[in-house]
Amino acid sequence: MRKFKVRVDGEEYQVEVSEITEPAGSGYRVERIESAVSQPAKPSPLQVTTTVRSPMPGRVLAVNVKQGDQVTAGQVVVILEAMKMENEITVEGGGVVTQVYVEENDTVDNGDPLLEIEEVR
Amino acid sequence: MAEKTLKELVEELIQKEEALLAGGGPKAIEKRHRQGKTTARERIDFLMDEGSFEEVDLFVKHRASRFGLAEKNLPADGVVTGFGTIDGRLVFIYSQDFTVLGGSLGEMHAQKICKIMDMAAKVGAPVLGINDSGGARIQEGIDSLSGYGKIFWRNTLNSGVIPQIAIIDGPCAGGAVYSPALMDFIFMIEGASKMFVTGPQVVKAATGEEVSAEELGGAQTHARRSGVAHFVAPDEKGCLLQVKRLLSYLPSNNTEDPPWLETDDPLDRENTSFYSIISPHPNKPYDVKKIIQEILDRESFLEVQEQFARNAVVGFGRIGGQVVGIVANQPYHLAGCLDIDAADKIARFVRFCDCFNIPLVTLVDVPGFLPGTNQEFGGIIRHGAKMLFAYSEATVPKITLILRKAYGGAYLAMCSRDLGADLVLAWPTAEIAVMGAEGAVNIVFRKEIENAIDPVSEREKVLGEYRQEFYNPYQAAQRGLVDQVIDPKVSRLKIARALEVFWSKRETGKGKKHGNFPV
Repeated sequence: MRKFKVRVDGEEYQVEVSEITEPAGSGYRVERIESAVSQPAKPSPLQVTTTVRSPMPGRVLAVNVKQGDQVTAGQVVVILEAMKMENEITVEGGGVVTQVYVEENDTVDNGDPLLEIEEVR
Repeated sequence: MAEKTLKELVEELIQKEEALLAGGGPKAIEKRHRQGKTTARERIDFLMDEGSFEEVDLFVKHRASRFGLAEKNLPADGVVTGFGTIDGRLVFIYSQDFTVLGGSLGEMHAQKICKIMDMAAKVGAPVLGINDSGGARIQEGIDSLSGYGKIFWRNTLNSGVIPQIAIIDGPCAGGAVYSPALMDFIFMIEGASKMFVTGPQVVKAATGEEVSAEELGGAQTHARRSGVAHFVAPDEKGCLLQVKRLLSYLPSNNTEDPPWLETDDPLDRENTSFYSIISPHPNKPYDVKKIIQEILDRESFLEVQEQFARNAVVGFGRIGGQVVGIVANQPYHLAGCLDIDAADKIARFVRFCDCFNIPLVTLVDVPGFLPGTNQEFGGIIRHGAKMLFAYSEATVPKITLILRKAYGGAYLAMCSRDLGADLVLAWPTAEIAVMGAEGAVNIVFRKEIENAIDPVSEREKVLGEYRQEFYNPYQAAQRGLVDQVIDPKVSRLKIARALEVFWSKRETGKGKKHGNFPV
């Protein structure tokens, strides 16, 4: 028998757990209880926002989309001139462009946000 | 008591075998099947040519007495070992049996694996290790630990002698990860494989970081981020088929040549598609894999570490049926720059090819090393050095084709003439130069530009002239750094001929203990 302290919503509980010997590495089934209270009031279906970031330092040559545009996976959204190349920046998933952070001729660093895409799942 | 007849003794043997072949028993096996997984023996059956597998050490039994192990019957001590053929070629294999005490590794379990590795080294045949184990058999204490050490030692001694391939078909955690890490290739399966030195619980206890096992050490993590996995498959079957495909490119040991395969793809097939793939404008990206596939025998390209460091492409293929290792820059990602991950990926692949007599074909379109503090702080100096070292020490035939950009130190690193390339070809679009034209002009013509009445137009003027004069293959060809400038459409034929000529190259390593490889 082992004792654990468990905190739920700030309340601390002492829980006793008995260990049942099982072969090493075997899996345990744990049921997850979804708490209705802790869920943020989010509209369903789920909206996922992804930030498209610059993969390297460079200069923005062209922004092919504007706020509100619908994009599909693999679409080229920005042309970034870096390392003597007109690099095509593509999106991994589809969605709606909710924010554009850069414009033509902007200089960006590695990891700088270029635009934001909201995907409805 | 009457003595048993031979027939009775054989029956007894069959009974004993049957009990052991049942592994963890029908219940445990059924549970695995329900999870969509196969057993240790089923995997071997799927891989090996039918009826070719010979099991070794079926009767091996642990000799641990403490913590209740004395009474425990652990069939085959949790690992199936033996040899057989795949596509008619001998391989040695071990496959951990999760249904027997979680596939945990004890003293005898390790001894079985070591025996198979020793046999494989003795006859010069590849070793396949199917990992599916909860880790060390804690009840056996340091005997188990010592078992891992013995395996690592053999992995190292066998490295470069026989191909060693690890298949992660379940958990592989803690020290156990280092046996696969010392082998040549790691295969992982989506959802099933987990690899980490310290698991999510330990990570949480030590750093407070919450991370799932999948995120920490799943197939995608190791394929994309860490580069630990060389191949990823959606399921077990797909994985084992990939293993078979890889084996078709590898010799059985370092004294043999890789297997030749007849092809009906003519060597003089013209590569006219190159005219449309490559833009003479050096700033336009393209997919170098299209170039690779066009040069190689049809459908012979097997990419390694496809999702890791995508700014470099490495893999096996065939030209005229002969196996080659391909290394290329990928302009589609990070402009094809070399960075820490790309350098690691290329260096390791080049060394593998050199170990096993696989000629190297290098396709160059590289603007330089990726700039940035994270690259410098991350040690691009010592990582980049690996490429220089690996190419320089490789004695296999080394053929280089320069497609477009070949600038500065990155050009040197991509198997340049000076690092021992046997034949260097270049397209008319090639630009072999000390650095990009813009930067070079600012240095070379600094005074002229500064003193000009109109510095901007002066800079434009000298830049144009400088580009015209130096950004082509002919400067390098004049120095003999490029042997031939070729029409892109005859690339396949020219590379094939170069390989034929340099196949008989008689170069061996220098007689020294070993170099101090920059790790």
